This record gives sequence, structure tokens and C-alpha cells, in this order.
Amino acid sequence: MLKKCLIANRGEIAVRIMRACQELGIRTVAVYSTADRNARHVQLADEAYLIGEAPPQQSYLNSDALLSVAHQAGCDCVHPGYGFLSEREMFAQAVLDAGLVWVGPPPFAIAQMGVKTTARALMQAAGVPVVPGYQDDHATLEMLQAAAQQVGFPLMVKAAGGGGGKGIRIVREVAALRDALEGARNEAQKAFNDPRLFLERYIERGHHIEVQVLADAHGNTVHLFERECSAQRRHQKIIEETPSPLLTPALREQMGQAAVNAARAVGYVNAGTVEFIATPAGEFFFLEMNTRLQVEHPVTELVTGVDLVKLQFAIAAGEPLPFTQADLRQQGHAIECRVYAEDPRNGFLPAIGTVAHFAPPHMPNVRVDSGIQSGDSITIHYDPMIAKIIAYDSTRAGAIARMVQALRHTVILGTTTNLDFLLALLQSEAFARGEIDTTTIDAQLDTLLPPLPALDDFAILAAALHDLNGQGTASKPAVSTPHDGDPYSPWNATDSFRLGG
Amino acid sequence: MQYVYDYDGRQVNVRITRRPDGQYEADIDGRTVLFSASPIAQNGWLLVKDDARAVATVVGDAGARHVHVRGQHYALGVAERGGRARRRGGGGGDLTAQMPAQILEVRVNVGDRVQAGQVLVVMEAMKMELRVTAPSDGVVKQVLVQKGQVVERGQRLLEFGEEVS
Repeated sequence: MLKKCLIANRGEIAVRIMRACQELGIRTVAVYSTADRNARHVQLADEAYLIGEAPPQQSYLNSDALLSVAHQAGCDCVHPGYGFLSEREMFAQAVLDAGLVWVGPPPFAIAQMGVKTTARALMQAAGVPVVPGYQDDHATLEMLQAAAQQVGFPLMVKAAGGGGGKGIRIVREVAALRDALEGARNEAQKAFNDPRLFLERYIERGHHIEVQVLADAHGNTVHLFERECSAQRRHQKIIEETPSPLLTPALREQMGQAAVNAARAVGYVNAGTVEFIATPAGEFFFLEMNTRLQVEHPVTELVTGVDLVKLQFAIAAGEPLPFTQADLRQQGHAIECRVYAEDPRNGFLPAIGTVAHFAPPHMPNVRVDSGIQSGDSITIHYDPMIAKIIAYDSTRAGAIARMVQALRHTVILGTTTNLDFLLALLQSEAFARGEIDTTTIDAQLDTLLPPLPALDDFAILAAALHDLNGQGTASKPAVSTPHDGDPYSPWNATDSFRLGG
Repeated sequence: MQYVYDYDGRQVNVRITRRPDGQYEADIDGRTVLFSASPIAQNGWLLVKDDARAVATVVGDAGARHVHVRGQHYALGVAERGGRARRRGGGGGDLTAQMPAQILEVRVNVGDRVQAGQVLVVMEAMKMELRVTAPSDGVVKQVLVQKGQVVERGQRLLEFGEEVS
């Protein structure tokens, strides 16, 4: 078994990984930048090492510094979390070359899934459906026109040379095709100095549905069902849930099998996620594979009862999966909300500042994964996610109701958050009906954004009391008592914790 | 005391006084509100008005009072005119211990520039960790305690100066 892990990450996911390590008896080594000296992940680790300045390039992305800490601290494994270096095959290889265990997939699996055209070809070969399309580097406009009939309408004309929305046309009928091709070609030539175009079927009202997979080093690969992640704003996931309200049992089974096939096709080992776009008509297509632990992994953990991070360590240590596909069940419903320090009424700009008071909800069947504590700063250097709040209940409606209460009992003071936007979204008709697709939120932002709430007299009185008592300084009444639980309990000291029992 | 807050583009004028019976009397834009308030937990107040009760959590920084009450967050801008609520009796001054405690950590030195909400001193009392935070952006003028020291209620911990910039 593994004994000591370098956690090459920060924030909530570093804390989450440490929790798994502590349960497994693996010692934890944290790394931190100068901006994170007092961060929660640093406090909770058995050892912590400063690796550089706040900008990620100088710290969390510095693989030499990370490997040097792993060596110095005597680690036998490295867990990358998500983001940062988690999907860099060079880093995974460097860890292996240093004689350490990489708690993640083999580097060649990361590499193959990292190149989208390679992944697409591999998936087609493995019989996993990909979005129908047409690509030929020497295609003329005439060839593209002919191919469009095969691809079907509506379709997207895309520039092979670039991204960022340039050179993209959505074409709904054949009559508009010629103009769109010419327009896109001119735009691509100007923007990327590359006139090549390709075609892809445009999936309308598509749902982003991903399937969690786990594979051990002994050839066993299973899926842990789906996560519905269509509630996105500008491709940024906001709310995830499982099961997906879109899927039938038959479709779930098909997608699960496709995900397992996708993982097998690249010789995948460890935890990974296969992303699909699915339609209300029951079609689904491979988008990409995320070769790492996902932000939204907790919803899967709640409905399957499986601790994915602990299993990542077991798999990395060479153990076989402790279950087969037939042992796995998807029970109840789980929803995750991502609480961000951002201002929904100001273009969702990140709201940097100090979270002077953070009190997560304490409720049955509500899990909070967070890497911050009162007094922490939200800086420009890192993701502005404050916490993930995950609610579980036996039914979807029950999970929504529980999540609404959990969000209302979440106190985050000092910086603007998206809490009220999350509440409005959860309580919208579209969400209740499970009809949110990947374009819904951007299209309906104006109606989804709640107005500022009418000012509660109690809020005015609290502000005035605060000022009257000269608070915000240390001159606050210290009636802190060592009781955990309900933040609304008069006995609860939400900013304090008990030392050593 | 009189305070002026901004909310949703409007000004709210509040005059608040503590009466001899311990209750508070507030005048909110001409409406009189009688209520009682007990400090609870960190940054918390239990407010009782007529038949309604609510727990409010409130913190302040240089620009606003942030309140969570009855499931909603409110940011009340601190008006620059009129009551000059933001200066709170001149600002700065001493930070004092609110209960007998042992100093676990002093996180700042004389001359340090600190941000509002930054933890300055960590104390322990009744196995509880208490954090003393900066009331606003400013400068540490004097450090009056050291690690391991036991302080009494009301004892000065730091002298703190608000930055005028």
C-alpha cells in the first residue's frame, strides 16, 4: 500500500484528497504558493512545503519544484487533483520516471485523449458514436457541399485552424450552405491564415452528459453511471446532478457501455470521465474524455456509495476493483452546486476580496467540499470557486428542496457570490422539468437572473447594530461556545473550531 | 447614532439608540422600529421584533456592511456623506481581547500593512480558537502581546491604524 502522497494541487480538491489519504493511513504532503500560506489545505496536511510565488506558473505548475518536494519529503506517490498538471502527460511521465506512483491514468492514455482528432478516430474505431461530420484537409467548396448532405442539417461549419468562435457558421438548410461556406472560409483565412473548413452536425438542445469510469490494472473496467452537467454558463458548469432527468434506463445502459468501450480503447487505468452530448431524441455522441478526477465527482459518490478518491489510490497501488459492474447501483438523487465568488449582476465577473465570514450549511445529507475558511482571500490567481455544496435525497424533487435549504443556510460574507443565482436556477421551471440543455442558461440569462431582494428590515437593523457596536473590529461579543451544528443555533460559534477535543 | 446605507441605488437612513431597558429603538426612513438584539456566535445577532425572530450574521469592510439574514445576502453600501458611518468613531484604535484567552499566534509585526478581514492574532479560550481580524485595511502600529501569553478580558492586543488613502 502507498504510504505518503504529494498532493500537487490546492483548495477544495487538495482537502478532498487529504481526507481520503487520512482514511487510508497515507501521510499527506501539501504544497503551496505564497498566496496560500494560511490556506486550509496547508493546515490539514501532515507536512507542507512552499513551492513558489502566487502565479500558477511559478508554483502549482512548476513540475520540477513539485518533484523536488516529493523527493525531499520521501513521498511514494503523487495525486494531481484536477486542473493544473493533472492532464499533462509529461508530468505524469516525469513522476513515473522519478520512481513514484502516479495516482492517475497512464501517460499514453492522457496523450491520446488529449488530441481531439486522435481521440475521435480511436472512438470511431472502437464503435463509440462520435458527432457525425466531414473533414478532409484538401476539401474544396464543392466537396464540402456534397458532404453536407451526408452530415445532415442543421450543421456547423468550423475552421480547422482555430477556435474562439471565429469561422463558425450554423447552417439550417441547404440553401444557406454556399454563403456560409464562403463566409467562414474568408473569416478563417483572415483570422487563422488557414482557409480549411470542416463540417459537424449541429446538435440542438443537446445535454452534456458524462459517464464516470473506473479501471484497474488487471483489465477490469466499470462505469459508475452518468452525471448531467447541462446547466452551464459559457461552458462553465454550474449545477451537476445524477441521475440525469433525460436518460431512460436503456439509454443509460448504452452510454455506460460506450464509456467503458472508450476507456478500454485507450488502455485506460484509474478514474476517468467520458463526456457525451445527448439529445432528447435519444441519440448520444462522444465529445471527449477527461483523464482525471472531476470537480463534480461527489454526486456520483453519493448515489453509488463509492469513494472515488480512495479507489484511485487502491488502483494506483495495483489492487483490483473491489466490485463488478453488476454490484453497482445508482440509488437516490444527488445535486451539486458550485458556489463561486462572482457577481451575476455584473457579467459574472470574478469577485475578488476577503471572505470575512464563511459558514457552510450543516444538514443531514448535505456535503460541503471547500478549501476556504473565514478570513481567506479570493485572489486573481486561482479559480474563484468557494465551495461545492452537494445535496442528496431519495428523489430528484427532494434533492432540489434540500439543496434550496442548504444554499439558504450558506453564509458567505465579504464578497459577492452566485448563491442567489444558483437558488433562482434551482427553482426555475426549466430546472424542475429537467429540460435545461447546454444553451438554456446563456439564452435565458435575463429571465433567470433574480432581481435584488427587497431590503429586509432585519438586514438594516443588523448593519446598524454592527456599526453601533463598532464591530468588524475585535470588539465583538465573545460568547463563542464549543457547539457544532446549526449555524442558526444561538450556541453555535461558526467561525471557531475545537482544538484537540 | 445615525447611519446612511446604499441599497439598490437608494439611500436608507437609520437612527439607532439603545434604551435604558436594553431594547433598541431604530428609526428607518421615518418608521420607528422597536426590537431586541442579543449577540450570538461570531458576527451573529439574534434579532426579535414583534413576533418575528431571525439570526443575522454581519461583517463590515471599508465599503459595505454584508448581512445574511433569513436565507438572503445583502450588501449595504456605506454612504460617504451624512452620517459618515464608515468612520465609526474615527476608525483604527486598539484591538482588545473579548475574553480571557491564551495567545496562540501573532501573525503580524509592527508596520505591517494588512487587509480588512485579515487574521492578526489567534487566541485560544475554552479550547476554542478565536481569530482577531483587521477591521479595515490599515497598518499595525504596535504589537502588545506575544505567543503563549495569557490575556485578560479587555486587554489591548494591538494598536491598529486605518489607512487614510
